[in-house]
Amino acid sequence: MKRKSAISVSSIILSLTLLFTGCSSSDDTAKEASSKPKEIVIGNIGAMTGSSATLGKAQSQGVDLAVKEINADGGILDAKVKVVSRDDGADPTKSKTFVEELVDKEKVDFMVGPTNSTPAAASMAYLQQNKIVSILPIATSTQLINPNNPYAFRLIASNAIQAEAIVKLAVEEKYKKIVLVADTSALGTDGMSVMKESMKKYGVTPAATVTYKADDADMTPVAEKIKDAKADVALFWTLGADGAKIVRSLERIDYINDLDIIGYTGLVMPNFKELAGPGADKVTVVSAGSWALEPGKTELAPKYWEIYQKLIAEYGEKDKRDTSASIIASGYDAVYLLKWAIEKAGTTDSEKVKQVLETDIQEFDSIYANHYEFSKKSHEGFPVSDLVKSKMDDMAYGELYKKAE
Amino acid sequence: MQEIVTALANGSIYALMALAIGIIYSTTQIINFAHGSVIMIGAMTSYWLLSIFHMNYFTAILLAVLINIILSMVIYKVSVEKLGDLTQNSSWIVTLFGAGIILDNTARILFGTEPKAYPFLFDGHVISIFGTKIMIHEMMMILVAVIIGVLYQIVIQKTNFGRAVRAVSFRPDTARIMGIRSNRIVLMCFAISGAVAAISGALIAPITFASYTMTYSVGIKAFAAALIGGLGNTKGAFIGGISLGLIEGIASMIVPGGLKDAISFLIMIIVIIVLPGGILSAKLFTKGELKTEKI
Repeated sequence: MKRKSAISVSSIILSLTLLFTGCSSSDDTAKEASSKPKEIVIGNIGAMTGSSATLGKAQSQGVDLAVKEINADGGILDAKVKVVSRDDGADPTKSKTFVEELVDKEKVDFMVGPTNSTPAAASMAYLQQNKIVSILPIATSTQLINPNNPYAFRLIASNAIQAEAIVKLAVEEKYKKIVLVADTSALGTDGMSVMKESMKKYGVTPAATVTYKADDADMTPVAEKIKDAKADVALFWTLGADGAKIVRSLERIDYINDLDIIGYTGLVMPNFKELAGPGADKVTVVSAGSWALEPGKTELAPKYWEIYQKLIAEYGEKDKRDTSASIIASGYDAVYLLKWAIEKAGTTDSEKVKQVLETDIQEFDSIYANHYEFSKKSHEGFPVSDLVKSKMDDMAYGELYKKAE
Repeated sequence: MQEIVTALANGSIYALMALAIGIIYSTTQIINFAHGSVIMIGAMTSYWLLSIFHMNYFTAILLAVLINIILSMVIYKVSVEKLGDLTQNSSWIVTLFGAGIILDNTARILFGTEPKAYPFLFDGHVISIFGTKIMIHEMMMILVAVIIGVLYQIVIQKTNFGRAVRAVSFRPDTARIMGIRSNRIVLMCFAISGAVAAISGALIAPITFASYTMTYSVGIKAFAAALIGGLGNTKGAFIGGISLGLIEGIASMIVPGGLKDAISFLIMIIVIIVLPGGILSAKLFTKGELKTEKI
């Protein structure tokens, strides 16, 4: 009996020794792989079908083009870059499952996306647990970037940044009665909350706050409330079709000429002018300044114009694709940002790459925003100053904003 | 004034939609869950004829009405007729929901996902009444709904077809024994419902924009209007529709926009609890009437 026990104890000790030896050896290999990786795998996830399909497609186009160029140029740290893409259809459940698959099965080193805020929120915890540095080129929900998501970095202007920009514009242009308009969805509630915070920051009280159910058939009550408040400017946190319906209703009640409208980027849609009618002339939106034409100019600044031409050469003019050039550029920048950070860190190690992004970002030559502003405190990259007021009804080449004069 | 006209205009659309639901319910005791999708097809078809073929407004709507009649008859033949006695099974819930989903997806593929600007009647011209600017389109919405409602009542009360509908509605088996071909009457009711849907679609599309999702939010309100007025009671459908439009109009003045629907549906629930047969089932309206009189 004693002998049997002795054999069992020896076996357990031997097994544990082998296990720890094995672990330590594989740990060493992992470290070696991160400083001299054979292949770097980037996960790319977003809505490529469904109502948000243009976002996921644009992100993928940007990612694919950047990876193609990088691999043709020798890769990153001499390693080839591989992209594994998944279409979550903007469904949070699918998104979470795909993220788990990409991390566990495909062993992605970095992630770009998800494109939509709710799927991104659903997948974020798993990416953080696994210390996957994730770049968000499109999702705008304010809560995505917070101290609980230390490996997430955002390129696009978040809801809070956009809210601050539109409030700043309204205050600087000395409007007297500012009305805030948003729907009651999660996106609209977030928008209303960040607009109110920005109003507080600038010491201004809104003349009224108007909410409505997204996709409601009749927006006349919204228009009536704007009119009752005698607003001279309405800040729209609305999606394109709803915004257009409100503009139509303002026209119906004969108030559109007494009002200016400044909207966030969600208001933009290809046929807004057709839907909103003549009232569209009164609408401006905030957009990325680097991707908007100066008044009277036909080209962007040289660096951005060169990238724009590259995107056209790869994916065609606007009428040949349903994606937007500036969003493709954001996906493209996400991959180049990772390349720069990995090379600067000299490794794919998440901690070191994260540290580079937080401390040395001013060295990165960006092509989406004018520059990014990551720091240890904030992983929001887009600077408020790079958001400009652009015309809604008049786009160059079918996709480039013209700055409002 | 403006708020009242808008509420009445919206109420008229709910009334037309509820009328179409009621026409089918009165003869079959089933609710056509594909009705919202049929309205959408009517609107998208007329938009397509207007913008691609540059037809004039009335020709486009007439053709959309014809297409919707055929579509509704096909829905009946495929999703309802084969199911046999509809009082004995509930399969129609699945088949009609399924038909709606198929129509929505087909429209998405054919017409795309972007909403389209559907033209207002009289180019959206606005007139001033007592200092209030009112769009002629809104007044036409009310007028067209009233004309359709009155015409339907005349057909039901004064024609042989109307008597047959009332007979099928009252005692389907007896009607069959008396030589009325119930299936044909129901098929005709589906056709009329399709025609009304095409007109509703053309009237509401300038406000909601034409898209495959255009009736998602108003469709459920049509069912609410039908229930408030009394399901299967076509006069009640009008009262239900107009009441719902007014309730919404008043609610949206008092509560934040996001709560408007909650108030409307709360009132619907109260009406259904207090008057399970709808407003027109109240004693005040039903003295000495048979069920057939309520259609």
